[in-house]
Amino acid sequence: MSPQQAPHQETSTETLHARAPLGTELLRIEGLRKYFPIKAGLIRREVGQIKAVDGVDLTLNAGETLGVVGESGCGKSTMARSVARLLDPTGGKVTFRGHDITFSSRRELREFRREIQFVFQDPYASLNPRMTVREIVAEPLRVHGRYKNGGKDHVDQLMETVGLKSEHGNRFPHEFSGGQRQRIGVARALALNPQLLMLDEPVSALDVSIQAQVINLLERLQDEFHLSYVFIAHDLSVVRHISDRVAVMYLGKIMETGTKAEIYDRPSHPYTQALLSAAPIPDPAKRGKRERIVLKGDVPSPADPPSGCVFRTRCWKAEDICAEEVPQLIDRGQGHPVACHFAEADSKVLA
Amino acid sequence: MPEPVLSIRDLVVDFGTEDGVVHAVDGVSYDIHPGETLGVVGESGSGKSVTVMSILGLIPQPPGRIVRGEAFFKGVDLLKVNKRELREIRGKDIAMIFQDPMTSLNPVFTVGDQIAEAMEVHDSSLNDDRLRAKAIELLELVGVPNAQRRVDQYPHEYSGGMRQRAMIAMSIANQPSLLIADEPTTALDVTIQAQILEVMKTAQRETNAATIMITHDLGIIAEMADRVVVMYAGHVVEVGDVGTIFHRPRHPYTLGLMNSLPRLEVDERWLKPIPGQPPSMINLPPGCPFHPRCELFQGREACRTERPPLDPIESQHHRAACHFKHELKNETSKFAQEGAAS
Repeated sequence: MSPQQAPHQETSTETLHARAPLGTELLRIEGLRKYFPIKAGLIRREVGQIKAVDGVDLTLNAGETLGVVGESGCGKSTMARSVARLLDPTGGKVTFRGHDITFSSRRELREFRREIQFVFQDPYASLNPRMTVREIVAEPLRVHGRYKNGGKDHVDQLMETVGLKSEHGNRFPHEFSGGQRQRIGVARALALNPQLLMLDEPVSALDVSIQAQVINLLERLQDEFHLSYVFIAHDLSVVRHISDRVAVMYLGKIMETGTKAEIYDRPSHPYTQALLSAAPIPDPAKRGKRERIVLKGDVPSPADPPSGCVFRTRCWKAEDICAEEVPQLIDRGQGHPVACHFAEADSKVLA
Repeated sequence: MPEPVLSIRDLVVDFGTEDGVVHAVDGVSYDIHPGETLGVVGESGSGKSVTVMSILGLIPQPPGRIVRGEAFFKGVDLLKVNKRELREIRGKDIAMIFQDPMTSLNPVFTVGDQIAEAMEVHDSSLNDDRLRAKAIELLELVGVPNAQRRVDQYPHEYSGGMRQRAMIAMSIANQPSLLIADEPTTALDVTIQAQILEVMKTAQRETNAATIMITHDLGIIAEMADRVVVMYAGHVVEVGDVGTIFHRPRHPYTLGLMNSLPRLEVDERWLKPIPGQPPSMINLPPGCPFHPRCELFQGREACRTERPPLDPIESQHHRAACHFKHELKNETSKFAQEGAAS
């Protein structure tokens, strides 16, 4: 790019806040890494690193939902937090609307945070118990200096949007059930009219009958406000339901990514296959009729991940090459990227 | 049908709280028969755990209070025996597996010592060598690798899945006739959960114990249970064999629950939630506790004023507590519909 074309600060903010046309690239994650130091001894010397996220590549288009699945400790939450800069990444690059935001300054970050908001798993822990619902939903507006002009009406509108009554505004979080609290969290996340929501296990703490209410709400809001979602969950059924595309994580890396049909109907990474085959299906007629892949052992420590393919220690297909060579996340003839030397589509896992 | 192993009758348990009395269990009755797996499902606060905790004397009193009821285990009413007798039964004839094995294992004793202690308490004739050998045998049975070595390790040296295996080993050490598993895999990842469910099946085969599986996860119930008890707001709303409950439920709550689940194998545009919020356990709605959220209610007097009895439908084995259950006669859950289509 020549110096004449370099945009100055104002235009840059404009392109950041202008809504991305549906279907165009909104977020690009390249080689993202987040390592946590392991410290030991009297002087807290660094003796090692936990590689929580270790080279993640993903993209998200406007209006789309990217589901991220994986078991606890696979780095899915750390990945989301590093993207939204709730954590500072160790390396890699995050681009939002064409702006490199990986290491942006506090001031730039403030602009960027209007566009990307978080909804957390535990609505009990993420809402300040001393603030009324109205204060909670209004807080992002106040922080960004947008409350004075019509803020009160805006809050009323937000509450109505998520299905809360306006008279609930003066109550405190503890007066609400889990599902209602999650609605408050969603209203707060929508206050600044963001383009992207990072949803970190947003329905995992909710009862089944309430889960469906919140999932439907999220889908309705997405249509209404052209939102894009990164939806992190361990529940494979919920992820299938809400996602357009899915990424499967294991030990800090993406094992496989593709459209929901590619991942669920033609899983090609052994880990994806094992994960899907292990998920219980609530239909007793299917009992004993599914072939179940029971993986041996536990997930290795991210402080000392296996060489080569990180999944090889639990994989039934592992051969010498798996210990020697890290399999790249590329299309190996399955039509979508798979990080396995022996990738092979299996359409019978859920059949 | 043989005599039930455990028969709970009209159990009522309250908890005194600052805000008022919580009616955690409100007239619960169910049976469990030898060798069967009974799934107990319900959402948080439905009373599914409190029911079994109460009959085992494991709820703190106060604030808890067993208002009335009976729980016959091999002819003995567990609610009438003294603490010492109950302790004798617990851990020997009735064993429990909890959600979080780290809090139910003692961190300062080795896994082997704890399994040995569980056996020794109920059978003092076993010597140390014999206890150790049995502990290793049990750990091998539940799939702990290198059991010879791991028997001498402490719980913190075990992973979550391994701890749950150790818990299962301990629970079956005395060949119990009743095994109660309360959310045994909820804290575990899905691939580890699959391992533990396999271990539970092995443990059951070995001991032939009747098993009560308490969980909110309908997938696990579909996988494991022979019969199912569905609880809502401290009440049993439906009971029947697993196929009936999942495919042709006759209580609107059960049907709503099944139909609100997202599917793993099929795409659907919208989910069908149960409207409204779970009731306050302090101010339960009068009549049927589900009526404010119920499709069948339609303003009808009976739902608002009379508590529906858990009456049989067609056979004695399938019961539902709904005044208008006959209106669901031709209804099936979405699982049955797919089954019929394929």
